[in-house]
Amino acid sequence: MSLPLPKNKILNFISSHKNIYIIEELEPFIEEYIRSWGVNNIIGKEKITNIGELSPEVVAKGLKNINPPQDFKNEIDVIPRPPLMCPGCPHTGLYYVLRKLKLTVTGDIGCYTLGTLPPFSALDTTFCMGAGIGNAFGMSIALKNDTVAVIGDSTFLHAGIPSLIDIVYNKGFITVIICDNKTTGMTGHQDHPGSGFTIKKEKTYAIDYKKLVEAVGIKFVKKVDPHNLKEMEQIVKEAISLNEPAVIISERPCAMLPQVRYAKHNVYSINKENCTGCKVCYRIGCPAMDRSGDYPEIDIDRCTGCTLCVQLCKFDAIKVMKN
Amino acid sequence: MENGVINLLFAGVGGQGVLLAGELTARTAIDSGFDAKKSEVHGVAQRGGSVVSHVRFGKKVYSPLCWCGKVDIFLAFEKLEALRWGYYVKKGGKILVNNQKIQPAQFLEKPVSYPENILTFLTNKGYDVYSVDCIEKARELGNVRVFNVILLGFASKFLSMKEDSWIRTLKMNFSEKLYKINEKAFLLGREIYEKRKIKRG
Repeated sequence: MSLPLPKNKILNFISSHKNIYIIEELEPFIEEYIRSWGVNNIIGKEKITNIGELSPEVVAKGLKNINPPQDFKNEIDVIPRPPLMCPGCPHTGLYYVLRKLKLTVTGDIGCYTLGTLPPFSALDTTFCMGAGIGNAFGMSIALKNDTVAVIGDSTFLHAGIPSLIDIVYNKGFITVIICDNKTTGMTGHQDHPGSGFTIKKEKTYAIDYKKLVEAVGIKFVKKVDPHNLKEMEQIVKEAISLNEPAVIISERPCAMLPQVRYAKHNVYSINKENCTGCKVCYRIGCPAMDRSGDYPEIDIDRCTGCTLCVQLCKFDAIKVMKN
Repeated sequence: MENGVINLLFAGVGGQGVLLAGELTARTAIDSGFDAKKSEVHGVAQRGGSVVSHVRFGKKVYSPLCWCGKVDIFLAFEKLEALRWGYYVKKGGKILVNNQKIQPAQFLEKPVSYPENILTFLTNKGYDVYSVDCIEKARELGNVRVFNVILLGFASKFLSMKEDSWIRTLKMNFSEKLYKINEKAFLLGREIYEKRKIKRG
């Protein structure tokens, strides 16, 4: 869509038709624009809802009052299936630790937003890109608690740096965790200034987050592998205990990047003799783990060998199966 | 079928290859000289969420979205997802289900029980339900990931595109390494249909 709107074209269209409907999702942007030209014989938001996403059924309901067929939810329990983090996802280890430490966590939009859902229920806020850092700063002042902001690597580069500067400049002391998975995960693996490749896949300089953050004025900067739960927990604890701002770079490439996905890896399985059915391993919410029976079962076709469940098991019941 | 346009719905769990199956179908339709359009849920793909893809093809297609209640053929890659999206199918329409149960894994504190007798429920609703054990068959072929193409092969028997058009599309969309096994999977799906037709008489 071009802006300003092509006024003559639109006015010609309107004058040559009897009924004009304007169907747009959410707010009446085009409608109000056209009404501002003094055009009034149009129908828009009085028929089409400004809530939620549009679908043919929503439009038909608005324009013609046609009700679509009902789903089966009244007759049978169609249980929901919200998205999970992938098997082997680097965010999983990080959120396990944040949940365990019961911290207030602010964030924004990306795969890591899925940390709001069970079993983690770790992420407390989601506003616009980069908002997590500013939110955490404000909350740390208002709530006087240890607030932690999470932000993806690409989001940090486009919208996180100014608010990090703000924290240093205004003497805040929150912890910011950059979830550096070396790509733009949720939107489909686009490269960015930290990935080392241009959008055309040419090699280029990859931003050094440590240097960048140090230049802003952060003294405590640590890189951690989120699949090392012990180390992650120890460093998060260390960072939040400080009376100065801290940055943790949670570094591990996205499990869905081809070089990770198709790399050789171990596969794990449950040793039923040792397993007590304590279900502690469920806390990582791994989609490769079936939990419908009394004991967990690992789907060997989906296990990525990330070892998170192995690290949680106190009974030595999860063993390497094969290469 | 309305105005000569076929409405297809694909649904399953993120990571199962739902979107790929939709993509292959739309491309085959175009290869066969049809107009085709598709639309899908992104983002939750690969992340274990409920994924749905709409494909419409025919002489001329205006909108990529199927009308709810007008779907001719629905490829469900998982049973619970068959139940979730089944109401999109027209009365008497076909639901082809990969006979697999994937428990949603996210509810730690309050596990929810997986609904029973899904296929019977859908049959009783008046749909023409076919269940195929694609996972088992794919494992026999040596790569469980190709189960989606087995179901696609089965479904292809209900569509007007010719076998060589499908094969051409598979060849164009898979790497050399993966093409062979996907071709096998596709042809196996067609064979399963043929065998069952004989059984049904």
